[in-house]
Amino acid sequence: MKLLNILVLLVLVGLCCGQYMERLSRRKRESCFPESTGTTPFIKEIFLGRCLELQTETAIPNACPQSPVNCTLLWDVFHDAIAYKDPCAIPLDAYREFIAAVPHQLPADKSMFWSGTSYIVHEYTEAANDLLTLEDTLLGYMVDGLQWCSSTDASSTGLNYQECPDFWQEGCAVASTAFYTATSSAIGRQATGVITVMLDATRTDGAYRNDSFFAKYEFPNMDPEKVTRGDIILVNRLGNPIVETCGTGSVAVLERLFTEKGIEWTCTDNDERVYHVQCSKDPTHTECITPADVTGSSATSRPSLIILAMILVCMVAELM
Amino acid sequence: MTMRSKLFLPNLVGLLVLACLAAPTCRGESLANVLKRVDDEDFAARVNGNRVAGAGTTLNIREIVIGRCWDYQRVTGMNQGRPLIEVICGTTAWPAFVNAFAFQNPCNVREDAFRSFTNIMTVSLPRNGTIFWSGTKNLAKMYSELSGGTMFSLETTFVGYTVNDLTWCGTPLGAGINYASCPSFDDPSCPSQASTVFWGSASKLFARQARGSVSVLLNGSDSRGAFRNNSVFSTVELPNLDSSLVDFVNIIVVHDLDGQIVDTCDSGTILILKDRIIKRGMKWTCEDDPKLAKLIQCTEKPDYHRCNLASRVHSRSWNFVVLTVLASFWITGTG
Repeated sequence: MKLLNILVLLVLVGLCCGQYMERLSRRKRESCFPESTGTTPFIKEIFLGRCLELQTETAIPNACPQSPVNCTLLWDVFHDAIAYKDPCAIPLDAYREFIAAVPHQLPADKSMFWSGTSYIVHEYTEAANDLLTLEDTLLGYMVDGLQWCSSTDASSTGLNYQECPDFWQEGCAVASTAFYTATSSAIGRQATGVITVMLDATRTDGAYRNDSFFAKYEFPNMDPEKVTRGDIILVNRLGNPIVETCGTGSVAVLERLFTEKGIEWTCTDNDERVYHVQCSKDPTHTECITPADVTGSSATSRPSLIILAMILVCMVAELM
Repeated sequence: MTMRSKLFLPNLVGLLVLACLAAPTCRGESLANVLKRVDDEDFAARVNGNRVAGAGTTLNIREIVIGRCWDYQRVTGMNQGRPLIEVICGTTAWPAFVNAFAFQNPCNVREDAFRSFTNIMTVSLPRNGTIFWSGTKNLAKMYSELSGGTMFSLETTFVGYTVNDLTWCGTPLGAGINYASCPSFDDPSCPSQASTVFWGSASKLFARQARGSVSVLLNGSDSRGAFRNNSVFSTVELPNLDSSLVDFVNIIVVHDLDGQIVDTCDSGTILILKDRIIKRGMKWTCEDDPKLAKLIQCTEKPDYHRCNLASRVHSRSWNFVVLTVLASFWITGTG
């Protein structure tokens, strides 16, 4: 009898796994071959265009700096921070002058921090049209999606357009690490009022990780005198098992850290917009059933109902 | 006699209209004349939804246009939308753009003024990859962005992206560009403006490029009707589809989440559109509020009562909890 039970269990596990594999195979593949590994060509033109555009009324609402910024000067400061330096020995404070040159002050209640959720947070803020991530501010907007590194060649412009060291290369302190360390610390310091942080609750290594930019530079730099509340939004990636919820695991750690810092917090793990943004990308996913689709039995609950019925039948058989 | 002429005249007009609709472009009618029929509001929505009335040319337009032109080719543009041969933005794209209107009377821009610019910036788009819209600009942009680079609205093509949401106009005086004020769309004394001429000719080229099936997103909650005679889609895009290359027009009628239902696939102005598609020798399909459109609308209004997704997912987790509890009971019970 016990053998039969184990067999039935194995079949059930097989059913569940089959569903899971189906979900995995649905996921689209990112590009296999990056175009180039050097500094993005025409980085200066792109930087200038974005910098000026962010200061016109047509770009991102609420993102205007308090006073006009001279974009040509800002480019020079950004360029000189690393030009002609060893691309693997960029000190963490290389962008100090760049930070000082940006007078940007995030409006109160508008800061959105994130860790591990880059695939959703920007679409989220764009749809919400209310919150700003680092990439929506003059600190991060210009270089979002770009690649850059220095060249020690004296005859060059100071930047290497052929080849850049890998971000994760061991023993190599790259420019982007210094840049994001400096800018993350800056937006942490600038945050006022209610702040929001979006974390991935389906990561096996934890939603709040000690080695993330948020944990290392953004959270520690928040001023409890200025930040009144922290709203944690947990993202459940479609088709991935939920690893943590509000009040558990590393999320509980972050909640405690907020309390210790004297900042109130809230936490939500079923934010509607999080689902809609993800489902827009994958409308046929089984978790994306809109009410109009569910008349009668829903597609998601059916397999589990069958399994439930099977177990009940087995239990009754057992009792008899 | 009077009876006969009364009957005869409308028929003649009808025939002319038919012949006109059947031709890829209304022969004998210039783009400038076609554009005169376009509703000012429709143009305002198309050109720059949030432009302040009477605002001048966008400051730093040169750097912004050049920056976007490189950005699209190197970073943000979808692969299939990038030009095969790199366009040099500073020395090729920008001069072609600015020479179309600078140092000219802002109300008298020639209808072919942007020909050189649009020729440089036009990229041949994938088959079945054209999205038209009317009253649904943002939805069309989202459809395009979510298609993973297979579908394009004019605003997500290379040429559209580069100047989208910008304002520009010329002046015969000084620097040639008027940064102080540009004429408004409903100014009857200013019939041929730079931005209307540009968007008119870009829309025309965009429609002529279409191959296979095309999609059009229409707003079924618009009280003026989803398919309007004076929209850019109706006057410029639909007549310029090449019916020997386009076989299907897929109509998508979207209603605002809490909006009224004015037109649907089976009612109102959509019937007129279907008729025009058939008369052009193409076929149509039509869908009311497809799931993707609803999902996109819900990302903007997630708290709307019909956008409830998260609680549903929660009930799924609840199922799993019950399952696990039962299974553990069962295993321990039989042990």
